[in-house]
Amino acid sequence: MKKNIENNTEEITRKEALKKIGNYGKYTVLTALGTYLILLPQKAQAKSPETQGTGF
Amino acid sequence: MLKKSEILFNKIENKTIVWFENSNQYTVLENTTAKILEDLTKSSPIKKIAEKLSEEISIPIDKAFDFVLDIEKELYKTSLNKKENIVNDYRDFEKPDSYQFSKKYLINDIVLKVDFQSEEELFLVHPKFAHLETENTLKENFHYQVFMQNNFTFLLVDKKLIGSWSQKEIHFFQGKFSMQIVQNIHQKEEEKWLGVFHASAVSDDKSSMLFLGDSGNGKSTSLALLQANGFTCLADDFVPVDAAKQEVYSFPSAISIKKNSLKTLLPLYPELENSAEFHFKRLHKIVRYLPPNNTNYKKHLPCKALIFIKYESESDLVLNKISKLNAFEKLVPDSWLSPIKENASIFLNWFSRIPCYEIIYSDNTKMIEAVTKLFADDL
Repeated sequence: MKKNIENNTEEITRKEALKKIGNYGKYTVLTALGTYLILLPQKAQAKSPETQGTGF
Repeated sequence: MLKKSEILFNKIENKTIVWFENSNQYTVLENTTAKILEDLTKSSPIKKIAEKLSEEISIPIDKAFDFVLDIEKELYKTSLNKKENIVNDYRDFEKPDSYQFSKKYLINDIVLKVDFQSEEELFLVHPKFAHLETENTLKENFHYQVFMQNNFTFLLVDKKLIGSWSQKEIHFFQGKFSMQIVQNIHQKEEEKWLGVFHASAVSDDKSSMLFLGDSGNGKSTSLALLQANGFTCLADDFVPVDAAKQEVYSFPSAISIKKNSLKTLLPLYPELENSAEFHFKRLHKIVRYLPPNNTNYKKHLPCKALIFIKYESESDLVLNKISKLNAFEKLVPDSWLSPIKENASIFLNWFSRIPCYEIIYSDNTKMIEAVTKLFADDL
């Protein structure tokens, strides 16, 4: 089974990925039904990363 | 035996949002696909599910069968078992002999004492809370200690290790520090919170709205403009929402004002002229901190709307209701959402009730008018 994972390269900070299940040839309706979006929340509470590093 | 991991389903617009307990993952599925997954969770026979699908979308039974098997393998089976939580932040540590800085912060009637090992730790936290600093004679209710060891920043609260973070994860240290403050001032443990949103929270003292948007889109600037025009700042950058009533709670940190917003804000806040400037070289950011105008950090109010705001020079004012799915896609990856099933269910129901808007603006007065109208239900 083929699985395409397209990482969102435009906004790499976003933990989201478009996945497609299977390859159903001419049955495009199944390709559409098997396409879904994954959204992962932050793994912990975070502040805006403005103090990353110690650049004072 | 492992406890069975749960899956939640919630229809929003023409799709179904599915939440998986084992990964705290939200997945946007077509309704038909979500129904197949739901049937699988109810142990319906695969043959029966495939027959129904084959009839519904007029495809051969073998193709429908393959599809259901794929859903079972890719979505259902991977969601069944709860992953063990690997606790990664236990490290042997020795508390430092002395701390270079000790600060006390008064938040309502609660005094936090925070010891910082060196200037480096002080700068991670203090600038945003400096407006809360109080005299050192008050007895503290909570005692925080922040120090560095083996390149990890450690946080203790009342001598208990809360965690340790590498330099790369320092925004998670700041998040956890902020979460500890939220828990202490609102007296609710972490499991009582629905989530923490990367937003600005504004209120008219009856309800609140969250302003969201990527960094640089003007969240903090619009918050500063709104608080100079009769609104109250409940929180900037770190917006906690509780599970019990889904209300937006105050968070007392100062508002970060970037250098390019100073020109707009100086007429309203002349005190910014002489306030300290902090340079974050790696992020090419220069900021000053503006205290929020909130006088009661115990305040919490229901959320009336989510607003995705964007400053665009020379743009006319745009105020539109936007697709909830689109809003959901932007909201989730930027937020901490409780991994507890009951809270995830409340979050989905809460989100499905709240209207979402976008505001694009260049004229501050028009933006303030639009927000005033939204608060007054006068569109």
